[in-house]
Amino acid sequence: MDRDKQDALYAEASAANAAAIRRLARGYEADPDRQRDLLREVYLELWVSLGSFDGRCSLRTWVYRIAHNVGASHVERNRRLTSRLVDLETVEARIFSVDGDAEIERRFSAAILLDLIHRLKPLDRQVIMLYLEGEAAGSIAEVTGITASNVATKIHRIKRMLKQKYLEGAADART
Amino acid sequence: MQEPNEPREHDTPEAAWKSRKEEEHNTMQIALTPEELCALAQSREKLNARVVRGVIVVTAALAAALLYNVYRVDQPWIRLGQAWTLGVIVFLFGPAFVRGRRHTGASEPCAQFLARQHEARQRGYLRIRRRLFLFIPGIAAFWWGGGPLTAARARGLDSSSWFYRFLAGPWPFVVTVTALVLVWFALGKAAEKAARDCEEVQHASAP
Repeated sequence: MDRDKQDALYAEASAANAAAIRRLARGYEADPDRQRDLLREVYLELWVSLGSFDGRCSLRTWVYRIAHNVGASHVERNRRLTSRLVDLETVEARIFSVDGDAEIERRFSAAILLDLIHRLKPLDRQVIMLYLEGEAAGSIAEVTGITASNVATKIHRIKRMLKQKYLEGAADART
Repeated sequence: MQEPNEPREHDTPEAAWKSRKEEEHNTMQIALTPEELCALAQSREKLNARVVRGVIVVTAALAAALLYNVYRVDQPWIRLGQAWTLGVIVFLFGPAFVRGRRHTGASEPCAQFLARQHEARQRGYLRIRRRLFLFIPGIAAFWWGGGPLTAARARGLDSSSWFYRFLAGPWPFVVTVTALVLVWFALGKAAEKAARDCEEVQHASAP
């Protein structure tokens, strides 16, 4: 692919997905300075990769794959943190086992959502972030490479977990 | 402090996720142009090349020091030990220099990407682990030839000191081999974890 076409694709991809990429960087890194580095890394990898974009998937899927893979690599590089990360099932079990409302919030807040996301292993983190971006299960499966049935199961867990953590907590708080 | 008209709480998780004030962190406003990215990519390449050159220089210096010992020291066992260790270092770490830049494959589906990364990690750990004990003959020959004592004398260590006595016994060999065994176990554990991570990812993406 020639450089002009690569640059044009990059301009299109970065303009259409800038906000989603920024949110994603926050999902993979809590520290603002390191978020900036991660974001730079995502854009660099995106630009380089678009030189081999073959159109077999949509540009949006391509952008998500690049961004999530760079984010996952970033998490994996911090090995000390990775050992403390858990999967959806574990987070869900912890939330369900909480007595009272110590872990329960009355309404959805981005900071608490991010805190929850930062605890997850990369693959589960990808699913929850794509779900929150409003992507359909099929699209999430295409980006992540997880089977559609597994994605559906994970989304079901995410919904149940978020409902438990937030909405039922609000009901408890009112009574 | 919370600003007016900037709700921090929302009715749905999707709203909360997307509501983050985009202007809140000016540092996140990165709009890199292709020219900037091209310059960044080139500077990365240069940096990588410098790092590789630096590692080659350090390895060459280490190899030269070992070769110098092979040449200078009269004791044949020490010579043999040093030459063997040099050969093992080149055998273990030499391929890293000729392999060049690794293909990142960042555009493939995330599960495959992660599985490949975990596999590569596992292979790397096992590769070093399988060949770790190749150091033992070199260490044994060096110790058998009185290498630790020769080095101690060269540094002017007092022969009545405890460290000299420590070096005179079998302990340098025992301690080094014990350290190698511990590293062997640690690499095994790390490879097992990488295999588990890989299996977990593959399980999620299996039809």
